[in-house]
Amino acid sequence: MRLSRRRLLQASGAVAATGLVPSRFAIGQSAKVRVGLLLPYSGTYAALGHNITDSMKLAFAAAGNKLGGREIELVQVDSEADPAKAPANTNKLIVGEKVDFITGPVHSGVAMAMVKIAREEGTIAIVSNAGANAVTREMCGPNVFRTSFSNWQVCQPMGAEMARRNLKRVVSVTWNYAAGKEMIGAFREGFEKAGGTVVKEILVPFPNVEFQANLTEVAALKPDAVYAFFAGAGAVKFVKDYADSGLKARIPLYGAGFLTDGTLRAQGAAAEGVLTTLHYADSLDTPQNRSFREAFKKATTRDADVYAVQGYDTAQLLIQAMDKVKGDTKAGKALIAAMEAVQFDSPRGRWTFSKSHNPVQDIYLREVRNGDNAVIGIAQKAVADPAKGCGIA
Amino acid sequence: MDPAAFAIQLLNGVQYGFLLFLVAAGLTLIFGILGVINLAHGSFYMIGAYFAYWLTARTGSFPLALVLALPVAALLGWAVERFAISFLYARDHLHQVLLTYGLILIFNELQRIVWGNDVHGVPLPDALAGTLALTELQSYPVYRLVVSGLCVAVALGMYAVIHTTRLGMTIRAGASNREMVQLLGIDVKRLFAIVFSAGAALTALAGMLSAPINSVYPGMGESILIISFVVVVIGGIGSIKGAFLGAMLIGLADTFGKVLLPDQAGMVVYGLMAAVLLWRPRGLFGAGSA
Amino acid sequence: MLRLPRPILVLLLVAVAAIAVVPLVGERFHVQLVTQMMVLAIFAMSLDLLVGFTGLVSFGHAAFYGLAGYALAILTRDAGLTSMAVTLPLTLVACGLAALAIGALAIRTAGIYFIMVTLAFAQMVYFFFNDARDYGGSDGLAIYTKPQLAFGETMLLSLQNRTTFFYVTLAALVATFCFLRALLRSPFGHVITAICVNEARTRALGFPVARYKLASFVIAGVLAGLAGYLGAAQFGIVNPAHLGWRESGRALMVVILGGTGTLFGPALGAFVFLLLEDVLSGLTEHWLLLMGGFVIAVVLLLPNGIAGALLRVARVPPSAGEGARSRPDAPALRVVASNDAPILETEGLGKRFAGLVAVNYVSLSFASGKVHAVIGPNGAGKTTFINLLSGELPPTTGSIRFKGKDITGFSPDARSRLGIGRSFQITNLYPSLSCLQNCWVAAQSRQSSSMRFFRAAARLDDVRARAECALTRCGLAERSDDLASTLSHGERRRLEIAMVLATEPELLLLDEPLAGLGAQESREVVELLAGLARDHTLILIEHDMDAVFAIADTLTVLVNGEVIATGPVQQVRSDPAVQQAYLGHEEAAA
Repeated sequence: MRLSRRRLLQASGAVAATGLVPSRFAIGQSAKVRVGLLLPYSGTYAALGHNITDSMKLAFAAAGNKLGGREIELVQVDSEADPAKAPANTNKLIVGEKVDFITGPVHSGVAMAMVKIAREEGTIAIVSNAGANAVTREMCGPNVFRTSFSNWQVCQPMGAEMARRNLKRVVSVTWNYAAGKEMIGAFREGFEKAGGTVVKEILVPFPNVEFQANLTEVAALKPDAVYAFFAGAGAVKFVKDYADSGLKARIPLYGAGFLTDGTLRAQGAAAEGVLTTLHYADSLDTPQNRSFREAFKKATTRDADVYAVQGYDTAQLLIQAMDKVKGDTKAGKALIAAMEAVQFDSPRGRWTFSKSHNPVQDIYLREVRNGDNAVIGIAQKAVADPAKGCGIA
Repeated sequence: MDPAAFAIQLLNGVQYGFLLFLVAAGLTLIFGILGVINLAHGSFYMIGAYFAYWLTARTGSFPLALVLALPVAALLGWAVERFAISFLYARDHLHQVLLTYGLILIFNELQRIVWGNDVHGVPLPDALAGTLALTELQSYPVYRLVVSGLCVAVALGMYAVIHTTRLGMTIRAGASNREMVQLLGIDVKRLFAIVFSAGAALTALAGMLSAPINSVYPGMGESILIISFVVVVIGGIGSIKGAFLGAMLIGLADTFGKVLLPDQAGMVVYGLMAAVLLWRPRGLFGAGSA
Repeated sequence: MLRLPRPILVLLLVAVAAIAVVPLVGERFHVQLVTQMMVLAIFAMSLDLLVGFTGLVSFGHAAFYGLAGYALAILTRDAGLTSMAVTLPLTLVACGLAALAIGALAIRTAGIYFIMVTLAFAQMVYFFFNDARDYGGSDGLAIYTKPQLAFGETMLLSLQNRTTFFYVTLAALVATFCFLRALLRSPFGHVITAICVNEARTRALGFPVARYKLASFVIAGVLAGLAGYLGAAQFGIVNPAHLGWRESGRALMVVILGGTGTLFGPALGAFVFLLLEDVLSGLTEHWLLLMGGFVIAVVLLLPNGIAGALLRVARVPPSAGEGARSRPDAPALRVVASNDAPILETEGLGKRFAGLVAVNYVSLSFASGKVHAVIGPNGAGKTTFINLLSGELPPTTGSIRFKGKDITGFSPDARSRLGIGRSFQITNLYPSLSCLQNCWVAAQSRQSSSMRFFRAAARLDDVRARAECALTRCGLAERSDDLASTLSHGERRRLEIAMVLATEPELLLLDEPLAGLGAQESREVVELLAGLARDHTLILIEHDMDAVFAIADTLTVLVNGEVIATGPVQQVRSDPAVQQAYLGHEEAAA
C-alpha cells in the first residue's frame, strides 16, 4: 500500500499524543500483533533509537495502528547498545514477551545476539539499523530480514567513484571495531578493483576521539584523498579536527555517509565539501521523502534522518506483508514469502529485498553543501550485497 | 619518523596531556585529601561541557559562558559534597564507588532530559578560530594552543596556591597524611567542601574548554573518567606533580602508541599503567595512605 | 562470620527449593531469567571471595568471565569440541592460568592501586579480543553447538535443552556455594579472612601473605570462569563487552548490594539486581534515573547490603553457655628447661637511619628461660632493637643468632616459624573476628597445612586446642566467642599476648606490654607475664619500673642506641652510671 501525504500527517498527530512511554507492561489481548523493538533508549545511541521508534509509530498510525486487521502492540526494550546485555534483552522480547516480530537494533554486537536467538527460536527478526555484513551473509536465514543496509553495501560504491575522480593514493581512517573494519574493507575492495591503492589503513582505538596523532600521520603520507568512517560524536570530532588541521584544504575528505549524517549542525563549516555515500540523503527531492519528513517533523518536532527512514521502512514491511496474509502471524512460509515480495516505495527511493533479505538499493553520492547533504548523483544503482556464505541466497 | 613529524607528534602528545591534567588535577585532590573515589567526576566534565554549549548558545559568547558556568559548577560540586559524599568519609572505598556510580546514572539521565540525545558543537569566537601553519600540509588550531596555555596557567596557579597559601599548606598536609590534618585541629568539614567544589569546578572547566574541540554528547563523562583515573594512579594519588607527569606520560604514550604500535594502540595506556604500578606500587609520586 | 543464623539457613534452603521448581511451574522465559540470575550469582560469589574475604577489590573480574566464554567459543569453533567433559576443564584451566599470571603481578600493589591494576589488565584482555579479527572483533563470536555430556553413544546431558541447562546451573550454583563455604572454613579460609581483616598482623604471624592472596585470586578467577562458561553457553554469544570494565563494575555493584563478605548476600544480590533491572526498565524510558536513586539509597540506608539487613533481623543473641568453654587447668604449652645457655645472641648489631644512629653496635646474650627487660629513655632505640630482633627491620651492621643459628637475614615470618613470637606496642588484632578466631589464625601459622584448602580434622582439633589453651592462659576463655573489637583495653592486650602464645614461641618479644593500661589491668598482665616466664624466655621493653623489677631476671639499659649496663636486675639497678644516666632522670621526670 502507499501512504498518502494526508494520512501521514494525520498520523503524526496521533504519535505526538501517544508519546513515548514504553509499553512493555501494557495489557495485551491475544488478538494483538506484538512487535518487539530492541533499541537503545539510553546512552550514546539513544537519538537513533528514538528516531527509529517514532517513525515506526508514525507509519503504524497512518495504517490505523493495525497489521492485517489486527491491533498492534509495540513492546520496547532498552538495549542500552550493550552487547553484554543483548542476549538477555533479546530473550526478554522473544521468549518473555512472546513478540511476533522482533526489530532493531542499532549496534552490530547486539544484532549478532538478536539474530542468533531469533533464528533458534524461529521468531521473525527485522534488523532496522545494524550493518554487520554477517547478518545477511553467514547468519542469514529465512526469518531474518534487514531494512537498513550492509556495511559493504554503503561503502563499496565509493571506491569506484573515487577512482573515477582520478584519486590514486588514499589513506583510510576508522575506529578499530568491526563496523569500521567492514566499511573500510568494502571501500578498499571497490577502490582497488578500480585501480586505486590504499597506502595506509589507520585504525583508532574505539571509542577514542583524540585524532591529532593520526592527522599528523596523514599529513606525512600526503595521499590524494582520505576515506573515513566514524559516527556520532566521533564523526563530529574527526571532521572538525580534519578541517582545523588544515588538511581539508589540500587533501579532500571522503567517507561513509554516517560521517556527515545527523552531525552536520555540530560540525558546522568544517563539513562543507565532504563527499560521502549512503542509501539515503535528507535532501532527496522526491514527493515520498518530502511528505515523510514533513510528517515526522510534525509528530516529533525533530528532523527525520536515515535512521527514521529505516524505521519507517521496517513498519512498511510489516504493514504490507501482514495485509497480504490477513494478519496471520502463524502463516509461516506464506508470511515470509509476502515479506520477500514487498516492493518499497520509500523516502530513500524504490527498493526490494535480495535473496539474502538485504535491501537492493541505490547508493547516493552526497556532498555537504550549506550544511546539508546534497545528492549530487547515484554512486551505484541497485547495489546488492554479495551475500557470501548465505545459505538461502 | 622524520624530525619534523616527531616534533609535531610531541606537540600533539603534550597538548593532549594538558587536557588530561586539568581533569586529573581535581580528581587527585579529592582522592588524596577526602579519600573518596569519585566515579561521578566525569559527570562534572560532562556538565561543564553542556553548560558551555548551552550558555554559548544563549549568550552568543564562549568566554562569557565560561565565566558564568564556573561558579555554577563549583556550587554544584559543593551540593554534591554536602548532600551525598559527606556521608561516606567514614565508609570504605566500595561504598563510595557504589554511591558515585549511582550519581553517574542520575546525572546522565538528567542530562538527557534537559539537553536531549544529540551531539552539539560549540562555536568559537573568531579570534580563537584561526590556525597556525606547521608544515606545508598541516596547521595547528590556535584554540588548542590557547587551551594548553590555560592549562599551564591553571597548573601554575594551583602550584602557587598549594605552595604559598595557608589553605595550600593544609591541602598538602592532607594529601600526604589525612589523619594529621584532623589532628591539627583544622576545620576538616570546610576543607573538604572547598577541595571538592574546587575539584569539581576544575573538571567542569576542563569540560568547557574541550567542548569546542570535542563537541558535547551524551556519555562523554565516562569516556574521560577511566583515562583520568589512569593518570591519577600513575602519578600517585594526591600528588599534583604526579598528576601532571602522569597526564604527560599518558598523552605521549597515547599519541606515539597510535603511530608506532597501531595494532596495540588500545592497550598502550593500560600497559603503561600496569608497568608503572609494578615498578612503583604507589605510583610515581604516591605518598602515604591510599 | 560464616556461621549462618538458622533463619538465614532456612531462607536459603527455601530459596533453592523454590528455584528448583521454577521449570515445573514457570514459563520458559522465567526459566531463562532465573538461569541468568544463577549465573550472575556464581559470578558474584566468586568476586565476594576476593572483595569480601581476601580484601582484594578487583575491578577486572569480568576478564575471567569473558575469557571463559571466548575459550568455549574458540574450542567449539576451531577444535570442534562439544563435550563438556573436555571444554569445561580446559576453560577453567585457561581462566586459572590467566588469573595466575594477572594475579602474580597485581597482588604486588594494594588498595586503590590494586583496583586500578586489575582494571588495566582486564582492559588489555578486552582490547585483545576487541581488536582480534580472528575472534570476531567487537561483534563477538557465536557458539553454534552447545556443550553436552555423552557416555559412549548415550547422551547424558545436553545444554541445548533449557531445562537441563537450568538444573546444571542450579547444581553449579549450589556446588559453588558449598565449595566456597568449605573453603572459607578450612585453614586456608581462616588465613585469607585474617589477611582481609589485618594484613600486617597476618604477615607478622608468619604467613606468606602474597601466596594466599594469589591462591584466592586464582580460585576466584576459576569460579568466574565457571560462571562465564555457563553464561556463554546459555545464549551462545560472546562479545568483548563481557570482558569490559562495565561488567566488572556491575558485578561489584551486585556484591556490594548483596553484602560483601557474606557469600549468600552477593548471590541474593544477583537475583535482586536482575529483577530490578527487569522491572525498572519497563517502567519508564528514564529508568536509569530510578536505578541511580536505588543504588544511592542502598548505600545510605543498607550499608551492609541485603545480607546485612537480613542478618540484623535474624541475629539470635548468642546463648550464655556457649562462650564458657574454659579449661580450669590449662596445660603449659611448651616446657622449657631453664638453663643458662643463651637462646639469642647479638653481635655488633647496629641500625642507622639516614645518618642517625638508632642502635649502635650492640652485643648481648640472652639466657634461655629468663625474663630480660630492656629499658631506656624515650628515643634510646629500644623499639628499633626489638624490630631488629624480630626481623621487621634489617640491621645495618652485625648479626643475630637464635639457638646458635645465624638468623640475621631471616624474614619476620621465618623467625616466627623458628619460635620467636612478637607482640606489638599498639595492639594489632583482627577486630572483626572472635577471640578464638584471632588465636586460631595465630595457632594455624605453625601448621604447614594452612595452604591446604580443606580441613584435615585431626590437625584442626589440634589447632583449636592450642588456640583455646592460649586464650585460657591469658584469662580470656570466657570471651572466646566475642569479637575482638568488643574487648576492653586490658583484654585486648592479653589477647595480643595470647595470639603470640598460640604460635608456640620459645622466645617472646614484648614491646611495652603495659603501655596505656590502668593499674588493675596492669597488674593482671604482670601476673600473666610472670606465669609465662615459667616456661618461656621473655625479652620485654617496658617503662613501668615497678613491673620490670617485679618480674625481670636481667636488665639491659640502652641510652642513645648503646648499652650502658647489662646484668642481673639488682646489679644493674645499683650501677651508678645507670642511676645517673637513666633512673635518676626517670625519677626526676616523674
